[in-house]
Amino acid sequence: MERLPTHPSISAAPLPTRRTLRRRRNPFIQLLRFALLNARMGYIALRGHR
Amino acid sequence: MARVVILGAGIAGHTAALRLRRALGRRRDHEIVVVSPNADWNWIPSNIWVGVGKMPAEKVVFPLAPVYAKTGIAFRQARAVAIRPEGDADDPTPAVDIEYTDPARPGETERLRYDHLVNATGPRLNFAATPGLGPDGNSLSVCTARHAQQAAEALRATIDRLRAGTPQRLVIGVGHGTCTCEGAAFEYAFNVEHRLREAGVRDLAEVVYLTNEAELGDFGVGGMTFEQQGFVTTSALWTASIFREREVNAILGAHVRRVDADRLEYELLDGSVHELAFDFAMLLPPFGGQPIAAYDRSGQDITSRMFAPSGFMKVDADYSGKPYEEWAAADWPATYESPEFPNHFAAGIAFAPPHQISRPRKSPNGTVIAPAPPRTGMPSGVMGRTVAATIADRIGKGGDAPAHSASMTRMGAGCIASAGAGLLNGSAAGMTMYPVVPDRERYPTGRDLRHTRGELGLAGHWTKALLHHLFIHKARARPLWWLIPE
Repeated sequence: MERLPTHPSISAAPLPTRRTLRRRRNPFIQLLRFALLNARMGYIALRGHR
Repeated sequence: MARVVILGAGIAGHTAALRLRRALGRRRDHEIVVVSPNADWNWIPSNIWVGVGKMPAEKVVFPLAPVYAKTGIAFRQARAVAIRPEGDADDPTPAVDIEYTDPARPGETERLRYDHLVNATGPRLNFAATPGLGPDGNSLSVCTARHAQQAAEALRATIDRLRAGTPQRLVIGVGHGTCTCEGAAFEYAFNVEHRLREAGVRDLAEVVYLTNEAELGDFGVGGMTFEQQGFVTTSALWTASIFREREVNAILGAHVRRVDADRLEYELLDGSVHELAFDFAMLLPPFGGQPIAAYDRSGQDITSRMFAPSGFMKVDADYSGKPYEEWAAADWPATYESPEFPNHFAAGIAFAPPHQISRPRKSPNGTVIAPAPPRTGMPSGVMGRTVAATIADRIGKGGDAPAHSASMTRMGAGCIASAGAGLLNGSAAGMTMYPVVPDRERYPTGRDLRHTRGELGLAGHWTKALLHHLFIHKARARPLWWLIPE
């Protein structure tokens, strides 16, 4: 079967730079992001309890 | 002695039961009874991993009875069929009629009296809304662990066909114009794409995300605005970028009208009708409330006073049916208590939302194509905890104790789509938002930009794995479970 044409919103979307791709896989940067993400999730979870 | 009956043992009901038992402490003279038709608890967010064969179903379910036996909570494996908030002709104490689904008690029924009731019955998976939708029809689902296992088997067969050199189209999304949980469909698409890449068959596979969202990244919450590296961007652009990077196509603003064995028919927001052939289709169903009737003391049917037409229970929300332009944060419930029937609560998916969060849309043919508001996961748990706190206060301090509140306009949520196994081989798209329901009076974009973010990377992947273990630890009521927030 023939492939569908790509939705215009997807074909116009930006792609990540090489630097961004490296950052996503860098364990040290990601460890920091992990701490920040969990701190943020913990904060909003506790805020919802008030 | 007070008796609290909790209908449902999903995230909201199970959280309410455990939190209430803990709040009542050693006062075991107060009885908590959980009524659930299922013998097992299911950590539904991880069904996604079961659905791609990354995790066995046994890792996302466990039997409820031992947990309740350990914590001093009574358990009835049964379904609720009728609520009598004013009692019956024999006794003014409220009651709920239940039918046992426990294989050891076939055909048995019981009228359970109570002082406080929590309706946390979750969704009825309404596959019947679309002909041919669902595992008994022509598409797959990941709504239960068993459905997810079936989806994993079908995906395995699809990968085998791809390995044999046959191109395949995989359609993932929602099976009706009024579905919710687009985040789960997005996560499954993310996982399937990753699995196809891992299997080395990505080039022959066409992955199509089919959704009722008018634009990508709506997720049933009207989309989000993010601030990243000094720029303001949107969840629409963020999601489109993820799809472009992963070569996932999308069909937006779609209402699936019919699912046949190898093709489906859908209507778009412009009213046009199309057909789409597929080799694999995982389409989530729309949700409805569980079919529970309500009767007054004389036996008159009062279902419409207690429940909305959708089957969800009416609580302290504004159900006046305002137009979109007048929607406000104050429309959303805060205490989840029925104003007409005090001490009757609905938590999680079981409460009737006042309206959608996303802008309501109809096709020129009058077909409603608009996501329903999501209220699963984190918000469900918070509601369960809030209702438990209210009931504990009323038991301990008297019936006049004010209700605790947790409006979805003051509640945040996190959604992480994580794929792959191993510490360094995975990938995830993670989003946090605060609040879930936009409040434009408090925040110009409707949400707090400090806590509304989207990002990709290993961090989300690790977080998702951590949450899986933490929440199962908590649901099993293992040591210090109560320290884990909802």
